[in-house]
Order: sequence, then structure tokens, then C-alpha cells
Amino acid sequence: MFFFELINTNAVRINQRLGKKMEKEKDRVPLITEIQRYCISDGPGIRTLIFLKGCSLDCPWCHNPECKSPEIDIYYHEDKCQKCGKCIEICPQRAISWLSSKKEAILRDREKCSKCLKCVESCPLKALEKVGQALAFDRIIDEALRDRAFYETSRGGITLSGGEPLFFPEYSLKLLKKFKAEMIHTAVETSGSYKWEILEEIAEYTDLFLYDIKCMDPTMHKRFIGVDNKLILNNLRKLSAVKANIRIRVPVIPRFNNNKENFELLVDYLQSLENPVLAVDLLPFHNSAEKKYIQLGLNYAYKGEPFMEKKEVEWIKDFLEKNNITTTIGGIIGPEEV
Amino acid sequence: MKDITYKDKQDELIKPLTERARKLKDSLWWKHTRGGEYVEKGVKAGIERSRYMTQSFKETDGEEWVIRRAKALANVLDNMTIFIKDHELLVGDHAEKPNLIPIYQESNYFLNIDILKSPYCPDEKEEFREITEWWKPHTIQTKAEEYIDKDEKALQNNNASMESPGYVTGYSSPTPAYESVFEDGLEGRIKRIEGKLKEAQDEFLHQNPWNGPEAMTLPKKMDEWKAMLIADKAVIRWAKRYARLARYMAEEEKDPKRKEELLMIADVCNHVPAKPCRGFRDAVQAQWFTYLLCQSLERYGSGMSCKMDTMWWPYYKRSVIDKSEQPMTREEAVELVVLHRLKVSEHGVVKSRLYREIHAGANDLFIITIGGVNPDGSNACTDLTNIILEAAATAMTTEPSLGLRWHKNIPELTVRYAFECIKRGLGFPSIKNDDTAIPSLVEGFGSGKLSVQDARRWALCLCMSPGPTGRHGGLRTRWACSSYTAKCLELSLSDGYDHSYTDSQLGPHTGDPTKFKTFDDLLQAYKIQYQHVHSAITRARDLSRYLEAKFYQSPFLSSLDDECVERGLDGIEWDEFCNPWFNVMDEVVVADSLAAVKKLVFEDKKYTMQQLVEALRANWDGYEEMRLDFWNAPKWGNDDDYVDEIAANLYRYNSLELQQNTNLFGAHPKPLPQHVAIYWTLGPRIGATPNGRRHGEVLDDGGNSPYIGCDKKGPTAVLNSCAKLDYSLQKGVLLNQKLDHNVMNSDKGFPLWYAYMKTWHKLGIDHVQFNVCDHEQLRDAQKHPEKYPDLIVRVAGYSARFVDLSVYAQDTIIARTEQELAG
Repeated sequence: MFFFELINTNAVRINQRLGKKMEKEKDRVPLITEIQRYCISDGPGIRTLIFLKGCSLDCPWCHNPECKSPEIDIYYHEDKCQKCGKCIEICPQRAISWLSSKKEAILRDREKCSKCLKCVESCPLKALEKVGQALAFDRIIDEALRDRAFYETSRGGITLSGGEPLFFPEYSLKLLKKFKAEMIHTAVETSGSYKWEILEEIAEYTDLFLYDIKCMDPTMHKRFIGVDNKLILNNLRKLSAVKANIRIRVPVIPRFNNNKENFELLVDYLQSLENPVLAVDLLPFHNSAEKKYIQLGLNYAYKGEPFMEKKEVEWIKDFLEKNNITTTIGGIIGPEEV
Repeated sequence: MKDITYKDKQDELIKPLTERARKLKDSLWWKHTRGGEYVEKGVKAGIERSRYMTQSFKETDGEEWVIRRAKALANVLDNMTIFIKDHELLVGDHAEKPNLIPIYQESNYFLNIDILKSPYCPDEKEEFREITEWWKPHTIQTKAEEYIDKDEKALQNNNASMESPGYVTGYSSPTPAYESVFEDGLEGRIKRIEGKLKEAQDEFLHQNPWNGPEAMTLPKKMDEWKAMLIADKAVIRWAKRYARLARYMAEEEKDPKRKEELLMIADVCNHVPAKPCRGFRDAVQAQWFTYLLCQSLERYGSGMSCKMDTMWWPYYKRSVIDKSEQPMTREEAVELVVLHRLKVSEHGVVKSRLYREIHAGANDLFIITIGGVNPDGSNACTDLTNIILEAAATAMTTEPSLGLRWHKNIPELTVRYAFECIKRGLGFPSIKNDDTAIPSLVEGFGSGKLSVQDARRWALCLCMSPGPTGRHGGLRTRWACSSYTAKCLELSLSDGYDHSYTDSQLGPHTGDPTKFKTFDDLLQAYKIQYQHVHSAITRARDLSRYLEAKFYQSPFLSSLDDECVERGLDGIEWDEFCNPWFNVMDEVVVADSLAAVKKLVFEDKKYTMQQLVEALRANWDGYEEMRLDFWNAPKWGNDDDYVDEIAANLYRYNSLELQQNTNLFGAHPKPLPQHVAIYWTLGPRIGATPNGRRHGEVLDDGGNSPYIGCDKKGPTAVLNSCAKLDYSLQKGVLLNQKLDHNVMNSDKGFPLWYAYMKTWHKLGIDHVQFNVCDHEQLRDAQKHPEKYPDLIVRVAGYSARFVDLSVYAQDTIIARTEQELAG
């Protein structure tokens, strides 16, 4: 009883295609996967996170695979499915079929799927779920301002996340401007892999950048993610020069970046910046996204990879702190800084 | 006194148990119940209270009932077996052995029969059978049944729409006037009562010209005063028996250190409660003696209603700060408070099966109140407040629970101690908003009756209900009753017929629900069902109170209250600050249900009333798709204005409608939405509900806590929803919150929680309490209970040891915590 994937989606290819499309449509409107309240590890204090759907990178460990594609996705909750076959009957593209005549498992062809969502509507037990919603701008603002009382006591605010906020430059800018007008602390989680002009404008309305540096070695970077890190590092240097508040986030991934050389290079690089970053947040690898990959019908490169214990990255924290870089594991900042 | 700041003590707030406390804790007889049965083998009922009380009653036939009550109490105190355990510094028990608990054979015959047939029957089974038979015509339950018919009896006792009344359960929760014991001593009380008696006798005998209507109030008062005197003198004799026992044991004792301790115990028991307290040792012992009397030996009373830090403060100051009387160090004071906790942890109650079930995991409900403001509005938190919190985090016992009054100037150090308790998963202190509770209290008693100054002395009567404390002004006896609004809704969807539990016409006819044309038709039917139940509980409560005043008086408790002594009144008759209180339950299930029906039936017209009634009657069986639609309809606790507005209107309506009732003393009761552990036991009693809940599943677990699994937007959205209720219409509203164990125990846990609490306070929400547990640990504890004897979880208005709960209850607690992992 598996939800088979006929064609293994090449996310890099699709994203490159979309990336080109984005050049033409700078002001495209993102789908939102979630507006998550009471977040405490993505910026200081108590925060609301707005997840924008769409990203141009393709990190194989990504914790939010549902935010990779800018288009609507469909989750399939196999545990809820009673194999009634209604979705097979209703699909106008004939993209869904029985795996075999035993009618024990359902097969879905993602390439054929036109995202008409008729299958989602027809499912009696809500085993199919639409991922990504086109929300009105005002609705996003309204939801994000609801916890204002908590932002005030905890010195929290909102964080644009995803996906990649810079994938939707005009829209992100519009959101940030509105939040600043409402006197709300703003943070942007970004991979930094965009034109400097975009970042420069965003920086004016951003109180804090949560800036990903995945790996210092450009070859490794390209091999794992599909692009090298030149643009990312250059942007960081420029951001530092304009005195942006920056926390560096490093997802610590087994067999990728958890080696001493990587962090030695990181220290050298950070120390060469014009202004120091506020801190480094180490995010040890966890596999809790595996279920989402399965629900989306995507391959998960880290299937079966165990959860990385906090103690496995403590040496990195010690090393960074020895070099006078404030470091957290997990990124809970609490209400008192910034 | 120099303020100790958090920074000074950051790393050493909570110290380990002393060796003495450890030994006492290890040898405790816990009286917890699980699935309606006592967990620890060997816990059972003791015969002595029943024996000596019955013996006395047989001898006093024909005398006034209040005198008979006092003499019976004296007979118990003069004859019961007393003991002092090894290592104890604080002494006194309510039964003849530590594993035993006394029976209240005079309150209701149901309980007597229950005990007689249970494994907890006293070893002297024949004797207890005779006692049961002798009391059958005299219990207040028997007497009450003279006034009600068969239908009313069924309504009261089937526990489908209301909790059984006080004359069936014997339930009560007084606030003894501890201050008058501390300040006057019982000798002082006796002097005052003798003066009143003499004055009355003189007036009665020498009134000239005779004024009948006035003078003939005196005999009853004189009986009351005589009873108070009998009781007070007996209590002094009883305490002195402990002094003699301690002295005798000291003579036999080889260890010089223990000998000295025993002599100290003798000195304290010789002194209190007869004379005013000198220092902290006296005050702790006097409180414990008084508690045993008022809430156990004289009659059963639940709770431990007192403002403990304020009440003990003058004596603590003398002993620990000034060192002028019974000098001791701060550490010794912490140990003494720990020993007090251990005393409470061994204190148990023989209860009917119903209460053994709904107090799952607990000995009984003991809630001590601390913090808040002084009568002048200044901060009342002291180092003693912190010590009481520290002792709780040190002892790690579920009982007594603490209620912390949070006000706008609460010191950060006190907050820090509270956090230390909460992050350890104790589930308390439960936190009440002083700035919401005080205006609500003043308003609740009716204009001008309770001053703001008096209201500021409030303490929790039981889990959640605030009431004034002190030498006078505390209502001496209270009793709550619970009503189940989900049953009212169920009845409104079945023309008053209860299909799911009693199979009877439980409520009035409110029309065929399939013919309801509008949402208002449904609301109208609900309102009639609601009022039917609430008139019945107010009636039952008043009848109970009337009979208790005649046949279940508490002369000792009454003797401590200045107002009762002044007026020659029994506590139960004391009418000035009438503090009625009703636990109105399941409102969240009702609100979620109403919202779902409004949306899916009357607005979207996706389903008809006919379909809904059929699906509910079938317990959603065969209607899963429809059930999911109702389950996914807007739910309370997500800051969703659609359902929140329906909920706010429901709470408002339920309050105003309840207040249509006027009780015996002219007061209009306000609701107190809270659930104890009834949300489990009620599951089988409430049929399927339109919020998508099936018959048998639990109800909502608080007063305004979102239904389990329905708060999808996290704790901030929950608080925002809760802030939409009008708390001035409620006596209190219980809110359960779950917080992530890892975050709370990280170094940012405190500042985050503190910020959250400041917002909670600012939003004017009445109450909050926390479960902080790791669900992995809970799952492991289910499999390996032996590894987790001290794992504590918040159940409702109290905490319990996780391993003491039934699997059904444990699963509910786990379900409650799992949704918080996203945090």
C-alpha cells in the first residue's frame, strides 16, 4: 500500500524553469502554506511565521518540502484513506489509478495532474489535502497582527519564511513595509541566493535576517544544492556593510557540512565581515520532515537517517564560541535580545 | 528585609529533600484513587470516628441536635487512638492509623452502603453494619428524600445532567478562620463565647418587660454557644493528648536528638491551639490541627481554603527573620513546609465511588492560596510565598496544590519560584488573575456587601472558586454543584429524551428537533433544557443547606468565626457573604457544537436537522464523512471570531440564566466553568455531540480550554480566544495549557514563559494552569510505571501522579500534550 511516484520530479530543473519565469514576474503573488503562531525559535520572542510557497534552491534535507514548489501541492494522508476509489473516478486527467487489480493502493501521476483539486473535494475522509492557499494581503496582515500583545511583552514579531521570501521580492517588500508601519519587529529567513538589488531594498524594512550558510565549500554546495555559494557569500558581505542585523543559520547535515574545516572557514569568513553578525544558530539535522515527503510523494534523500542529537553538535558551538561568536543550538533566542 | 534577587540565587533555587523529609516521604500511605479504587493496598476505612460518634449519639437521644453533634465530636477526640510517626515534627491525624481514613456515616447512607460492600470496609465489619443501620433514618440524605419525588431523585442521582447534591455526597468546602486560632487561641475563643452565653442567659432571665419575638431567639443561640464550648474544650484536650504522648515517647527515646524533638513537639501541642501562637512552629501545627478538625474530624470538608503566606507571615517573621520566638533558619522553615505537604499527602478521605472517580489520582482536593495583594492594594508576596513554592518543587508531591494570585506588581523572584514548580511538571501553581478576580468578587456579592479591602483577602475555596478569608467575612461552609451543559444540548436535540445514558424523559419537551427552522429554534430549546437543570441544582443546594443547618452543624468551625460567635449562628446558616457557586461544565463542547450546526445546517445548508439527528442517534456510525465535516467546522481556541462570538454569547447567556435563580439567602449564583476530572467520567454519560465527538469520548477538559485536539494555532491563539469572554459574569474560568517540556527547561524557558504570562495578565483572563510534560516520557511511563513514581501531571483543578491514573485517563493526558510539540 504505497503511494507511488511515476516520475521522480527533478526539483532543480523545475525550479530553474520557475526561476526564469520569476525574472519576468517580479511581483508574482505567493501561495501561503501556513501562518504559524507562537513560534519561538525563528527570531527573538514570540513570533508569527508566514510561510511563502516557492524556493529556487533544492536542498535535499529541506524541512519544508511543501514549500519548494510555488504551485499548489496535494498531501495524501495514506492512514486516512479507505481506498474507496472516488478520486480515481472523478479525476478528469486520469492522473490517478489503481496500482493493481487488487485495489489496495493508489497510483498518481504528478505530471498529468492539473491541480484542479476535484479529487481533494471528492475525498470523503479528507485523506487528500490541498497545500498552499492564495490568501488576500489583508487577511495575511490581519492574522499576523493578532498576536501583537505577545510581541509587545516578548519583544517578538513576525518572520517571513518559506520557501524563500526573496522568491517573491515585491510581495515580501509590501508585507514588510506594512509590518514596519504597524511598528512590528520583522525578520526574514533567507538563503541569500538572489540579486543584491532585491536584498538591498528588503534590508531597509527588515530588523533581523536569519541568513542560511549551508556550506563554505563551493563545490560541495553545488553538488548538494545545485548552485555554488558565491552569490550567497557576497550578499552577506554587502548586508554586513549596510549594518543589517544578521543571525547566521547553519543546518548541520551529516556527511555534508559537519566537519571542522567547514566551520574554520566559516569563522574566517565571518571575522572578515565589516560588521560582526549577531550570532550563529546551529540547527542539527532532524528527520521529522520525512512524513511530509511521503505525503507529497517526493523522494527523501535522508530516509532512515537518525535524528542528530544536540550533543553531536556541541563541539561546533564550543569552537565558534572560542572564536567569540555567540552560538545557539536550535535557535531559541528568547525575548531579551535585539 | 533585604530582597533576594533571582540573579543571586539563580542556580540554587530548589534544594534536595532533607533526610528526614525523604524518609517520611518514602513511608507515606498515599490515598490516591484510580478508576474509583484506592491504588495502595491496605488503605481502608477506620472505625473509630464512626464508633465514638455513634456511641455518643445513642447516649444523647432527646437533646438538641447541635449539642449532640458537639458531644459526639468530643467523644471522638477523647477516645480516638493517636500516634506520632518516626521523624515527624508536625503531628496529628484524623484516623487511628496512617493507612486508615475516617467515615462520615452521618452524611449519607449511599456512602455507608458503598463502604460496607467495598474492600475498604473497616475490619470491624459487623460493628460498621450496625452503625450503618442505626444512622439510616438520621442521615441528611434520608431527611432530604422526604421532600422530593421519584423523578427528582432520578434527575439528581443519575449524574447525567447534574452532580448529585450535597445531601447525597456530603460534600463541603469551608474556609476556617485560622487567624482567630492563631491570634486568640481556643482559650480566648472560649472566653469570648462564655461571655456571649452569660450575657444571653442574663437577658433571657431578666428581660423586663418581656419581649417575646426578640427574647425567644436566644434559646437557639444559647444551644449554639454551648455546643461551641463543648467542641473547643474537647479540641484543647485532644491536642494535649498529643503533648502527653510526645513527652512519654521522649522519656523512652534513646537518641538525644530525637528526644529533644519530641519534647519540642510536646511543648508546641501543649501550647496550641489552646493559646495564641508564638512562632512559626506553633502556627504550622495550629493550622494542621484546625484543618483536621474543620475538614475531617467534625465533618468532611474538601479543599484547604486559606491565604497561607499571609496567615503564617507574622509567625514566620518572628521565627525566621526576627528570631524572637521559636528561632529557626530559612532552611528549617522550608523543611517544616515540606513536612506540612507530606502530612497533606497522607491525608485521605472515604468518598463515594463517584468522587473516587472524579478525583482520579488524588487523595482529595487540597488547594492553598498564596500571593496577591494586601487589603491596602500593596504587594502581598513575601519570602514565605517563595518558601511555599520552593517546598512544593522540593517535595514533588501532587498535594496540596497551590493557587498563585498574580497581580500587576508581582515580584519577579516569586514568578521565578512559580516557574520552577511549573517547569518540573507539577501542574501548579495554578495561576489566578488578581486584577480580574477582585472586581468580580466585589460585584458578585451584590453592591456594597463586600468591600474591596475584604475582597483582597480572597483565597480559593476549592480548585477555582474565590471567597473571602479571615476572622470574619469568610463564608464558613460552601458547597458547589456541577451541571453538564452538553447533556442540555443533547436533550434539546431529542425533545428532552435521554437516549444515550438513562433512557428516560430526563428534560422537558422542547419540540421535535427535525422541525427546527432556524438556529434560534435550537437555542430556544437549549435554553429551556438549561434552565430546567439549573433550577433543580439550586433547589437541591438550598434543601441541602436547610437540612445541614438542622442536622449537620459544625460547632467547632463556627466557634472560630467572629460573626458566628457574635450572632450565635452555625456556619452553615451564616448568610452575610453568601458565596454561591456552580460548576457549569462542557460549555466548549456546546459552543463548538452550536457553531458547527449553525454553519453546516443553517448557513451552508449542507445537511438538514433530520440528518443531524439521525447521525447523532447513530453515534455517527455510518456518517463518517458528515462527522468529519462537523469535526472540521470552526472550533473554539483558534482566535476564530465566528465560533468565538457564539461561545462568548453562550457563556454570557449561561451566566445570566443561572442568575435568574435566587438561593436561600437571596443571592444569585454565578457559574464557574471548570471540570475536575468529570470530563472523563462524563464521557459515557453524554451521547454524540455535533462538534464531531462520539458517545463515550471525553468532554472538554477545563472551563474554556479548547476541546482536545482542536486548538491548532497554539497557545497565543488560545489566549486570544479566551480574552473574548466577559469574566465579570463568571466566578472563575479554568484554562488548561500545555507547554513544551524542552522549551520550558531550556535557558530561554523562563523569559518566554514570563512574557507569555504578562500578556495573559494584560488580556484580563481569569486563570491558567500548565501541563509541562514530555510525551515520550509519558508513553514510557505507561509501559514502565515503576520507573516513574514521581511523574506528575495536571488533571484539572489538581495534579496527580501519572501512574495513578487509568489508561483511559492517561491517554487523554497524552493526547492533550502531543499537539503542543510544534511549539
